[in-house]
Amino acid sequence: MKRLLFFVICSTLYALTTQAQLKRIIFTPQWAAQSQFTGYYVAKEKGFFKEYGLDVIIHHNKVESKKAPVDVLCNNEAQVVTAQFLQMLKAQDQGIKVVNILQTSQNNSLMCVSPHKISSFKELNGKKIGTWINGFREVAELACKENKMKVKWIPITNCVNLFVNKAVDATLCFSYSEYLRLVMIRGDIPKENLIYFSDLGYNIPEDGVYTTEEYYNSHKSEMKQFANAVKKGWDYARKHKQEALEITQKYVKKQNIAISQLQLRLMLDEVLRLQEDADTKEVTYAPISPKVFNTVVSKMRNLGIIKNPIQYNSMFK
Amino acid sequence: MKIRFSFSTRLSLYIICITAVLFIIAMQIIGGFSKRTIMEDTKKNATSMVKIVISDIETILANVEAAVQNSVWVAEEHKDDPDYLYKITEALVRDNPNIIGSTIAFQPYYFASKGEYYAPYTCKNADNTLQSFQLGNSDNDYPHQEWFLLPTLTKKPLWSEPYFDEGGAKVMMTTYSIPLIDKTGEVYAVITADVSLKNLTDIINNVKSEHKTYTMIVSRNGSFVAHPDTSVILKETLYSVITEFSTGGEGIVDGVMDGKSGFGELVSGGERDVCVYGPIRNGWSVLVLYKYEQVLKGVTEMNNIILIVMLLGLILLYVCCIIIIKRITKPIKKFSDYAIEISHGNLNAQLPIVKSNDEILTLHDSLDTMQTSLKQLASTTIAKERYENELHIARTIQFGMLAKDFPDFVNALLVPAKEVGGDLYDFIEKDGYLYFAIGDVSGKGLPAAFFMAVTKSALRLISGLGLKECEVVGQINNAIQENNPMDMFVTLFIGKLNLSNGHLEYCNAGHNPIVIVSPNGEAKYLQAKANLAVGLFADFPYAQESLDLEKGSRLILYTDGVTEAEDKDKNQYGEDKLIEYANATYHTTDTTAFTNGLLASVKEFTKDAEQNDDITIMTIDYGKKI
Repeated sequence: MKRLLFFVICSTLYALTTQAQLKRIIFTPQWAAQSQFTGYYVAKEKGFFKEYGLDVIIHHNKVESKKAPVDVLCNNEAQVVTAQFLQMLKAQDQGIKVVNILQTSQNNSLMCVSPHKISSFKELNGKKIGTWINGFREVAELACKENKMKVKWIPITNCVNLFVNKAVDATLCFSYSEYLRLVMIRGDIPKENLIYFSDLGYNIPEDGVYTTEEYYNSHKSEMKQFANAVKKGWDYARKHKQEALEITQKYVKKQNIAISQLQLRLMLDEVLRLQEDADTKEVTYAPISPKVFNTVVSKMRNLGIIKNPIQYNSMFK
Repeated sequence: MKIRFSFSTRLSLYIICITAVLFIIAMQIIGGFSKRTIMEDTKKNATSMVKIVISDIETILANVEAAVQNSVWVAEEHKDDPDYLYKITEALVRDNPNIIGSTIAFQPYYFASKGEYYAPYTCKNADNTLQSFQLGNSDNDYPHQEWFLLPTLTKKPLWSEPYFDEGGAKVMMTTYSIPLIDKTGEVYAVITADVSLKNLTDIINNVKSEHKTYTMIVSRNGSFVAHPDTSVILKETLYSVITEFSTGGEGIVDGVMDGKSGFGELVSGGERDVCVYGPIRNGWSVLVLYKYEQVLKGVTEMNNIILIVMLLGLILLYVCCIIIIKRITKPIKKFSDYAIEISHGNLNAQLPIVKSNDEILTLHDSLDTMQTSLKQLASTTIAKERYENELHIARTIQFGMLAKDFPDFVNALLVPAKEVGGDLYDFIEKDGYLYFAIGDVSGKGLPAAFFMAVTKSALRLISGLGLKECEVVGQINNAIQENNPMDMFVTLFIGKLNLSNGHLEYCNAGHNPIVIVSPNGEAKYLQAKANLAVGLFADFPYAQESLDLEKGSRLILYTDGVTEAEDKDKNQYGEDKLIEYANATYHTTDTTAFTNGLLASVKEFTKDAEQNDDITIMTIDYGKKI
C-alpha cells in the first residue's frame, strides 16, 4: 500500500513538473472553428505542440465578435493569432508591431459572388457588396481603389443570407468558406457569377501566424517551435484528411458551429490547395517574398490605404 | 443416372409446377397492383401532410405578420416618443401567444439622446411574464444583423433565417421584420416579432401518419430548420445531405430552392426514398420523406406470408395429388400387374374387378376382350403348330420315300407347292433295265401326299410282280379304286428302258406327254395313247406301248406343275417353252444340270408369284455323252 502511494505521488509530481516545463501559449484563430484551422487542431490533438515544448491553448472568439486578430494581440488575450497579411500590414501601419512567425497561405482566396452574371469586376462599380463586419476585405478595397471604383460595402454577420435574398449586387466570399456555404445551398454556382481577386492580379497570400514584436523578441525559440509544430500539424492533416476532419469536428461541435460535414471537407481541401505554391504546387510554408511585400506596401501607400513606410524585416524576421 | 419417377409423382409435380407458376404470376400482378396503390396512397397522404403542415405554419406566420403590420401605424405615430415604443412591443408580445419577442430597432444614432443603438425590446420569460429592455449595444450590433439589415436594404417585410438569439430571448427563433420608412423613402427603423422555432417544429412533431414518414423544414438558404435528426439542424443543408448521403435528389434540391411544390425520389443508404415538398409563405419549404421499403413493408410481409402459405399449400396439394392419383390409378396398377402376368403366358390371369363406370371400366372391358382373343389365338396357334409339326413329319416321310441315289444318267426332283406334295417319281435299275415312273395326284397338300404314298407303295408292290407296264397300271388302278372314298385320282407314266438296246416299254395313264430329245438335240413330245388316270374306273384297259430310242436320246418326264407354272399375270410357262429349253440345253447339260436348270427356268419365269402346284422333273439320258 505504501509502495502504491509512493508511486502515485511520484507520478503526479512528474506530470506536474513536465507540464510546468511546457511553455503555455494562448492561440486564437481569426474565425470560428472550421477546417481553416485544422492544422492547429491536429498539432494540438496529436501532441505536436507538446513535442516542441509548448502547452498551447486554442481559444476561439465568439462568432458574433467584431474583434480583429490584432485586437486580440493588443488586448493580450492571446500571444499568437492567425491573421491575413494585409490586416497585419494595416496594423503595422497603425504602429502595432507584429511579427509573422509562419506564412501558411500562399494564395489569395477572396472572391466576389453575384446572384447575376458579371462580365468584369468594374461592373460592380457603385453597387452594394456584402462583406464581413470585422474586416477581411482589404484586398477588395485595394482592387477597388486601383480600379477607381466606389462600392457600398454592406457589413453583415452572415453575408450568405444577403446573397440568398438578393439584397446586394454581390458579396465578398473566401473560396474556402462563404463560397462553399453558398454552394451548399444548391450546388455549384455558375463561373460567370464569380470573380476571383487572384485572377485580377491580387494573388496576395492571406493567412499567417502572428505575434507581437515584443512577445516575439522575448520568446523567439518558442515561436520557432510553434511554427514547426503547426507545419507538422498541417502536413499530418494533408496526409490523414479523414482523421484531421474528425479532429476538426471536435472543435466545431465544441463551439456549436453550424457547418455541414461536406462543407468542412471541401473547406479543408481548398485550404490545403491555397497552401500550395501557385507554380510548383509544393508546400513550403515560405514567407511572403520581399518583392511581393514591397509591391503591396507601395501600392497601399500610393492609394492611401496605409500612410507609413513598412520595412519587410519588421514583420518577417 | 436417370431418376425414374412414378406416374403419380410426375403428374403431381406437373400439377404443382403449373399451380406454382400460376400462383407466382397472380402474386406478381396482385403484388404490383398493391404496391402501386399503396405508393399512390402514401404519396397522397404525404402531399396532404405537407399541405397540413404548411397550412398550420402559415396560420402562425400570417397571425404574426398581421399583428406586426397592425402595430406599424402605432409605431409610426409614436416614432418621436422613444420610451412609448415599449408599450407597442409589450402589446405585441402580450397579445400574441406565438410572438416571444418584439423590438422596434432604429438606425444608429436616430435618437441623439439614446446613443448609437436604440431598440426597445420586449420578450416573454419562461413563466410568461414580460421583460423589456433596450436591445442594442456593442456586443449586440443589430444594425449588422440579418433581421434588421435585410428589410432595410430591400425595404420589404421579410422573415429572417432561423438563428439563436444571443441578445434577447436566447432561443432558436425566426424574426419577422417590417421596415419603417420615412417620407424621404429611407428606412429609419424596423419593427419585428420573434417566433420560437419550437412553435413551428411542434407542428411537424404532432403530424401523425399511418406510414413512417419524416417531416422536415428547410429554410431559404437550404439549412434544415426542423429535422428528425436534430444534430443536423442549421448545420447541414438539403444539398449537403443529399450530396453526401444520397443519390438522385438533385431535382428535389432545385424544386425546394425554387420554392416549388413537387416530389422526387432519391436513394439513401441503399434504400429508396420518396420526398414530397411544398413552399411556405416565408420562403421556407416543408418536406415529407418516406422510405419506399418501409411503406411497402406491409405488402412485403403479406407477400412473405402468402409465399409461406403457398409453399405449405403446394406441399399439401402435392401430398393430396399423390394420394388421389394413386387411388385413381390403383386399378391401372392392377391392370399393369395383370398385363405382366398375361405377357408371361398366364392367359388365365384374373382381371381386376372394376366398380366405377368410367374409362377404367372401358379399359377393363377391352382387356377382357383381349384376353379372350389371346386365349383363342393361343389355342389356334397350338393346333397350327401341331399341324405344322405333323406336316413336317409327313414331308420327311414323303421325301424319304423318293429315290435319292441317282445313277449318272438319271436325275429327278420334286418341289411341292405346300409342305407336302401330291407328285411322285420313282426308278429302279435292275437286270439291265431301268424301271421308272412319274405321277401327279389330283389336288395338293396332305390328302394328295397321302394318296401319292398309297400310289407309290402300290407301284413298288405291283411292279415287283413281273407284269407288263400296262398291267401294272391296271393293277394299281384296281387297287386304288377299291378304297377311294374321296374319288381322288393320279396320272401316271411308267416305263421300262432296256439299257443295252434302248427299247422302251411304257404305259401312260393320263399323264402329260413326256419329251424325247433325239441325239441331234431336237426335242418333241411323245405321242402316247391317252389312257385314263389311275383310280377313276376299275378294270380300265390300259394300253401298252413301246419305242426304240436312239443312243444319245434324252427322256424328260415332268408334271403339270412345270408347264402350268404361272407368273403374277397368270401367264403359263407352257409346253413350247419346255421344248425350247430342252433344245437349248441338250448339248450342254447332263441329267442333274438339266433337271436343276429346268426348275431354275420355271422359277425365273414365275418370279415372285406363289407356286401353285407341285413341280416334279425326271431326266433320263440313254447313252448320252456330254
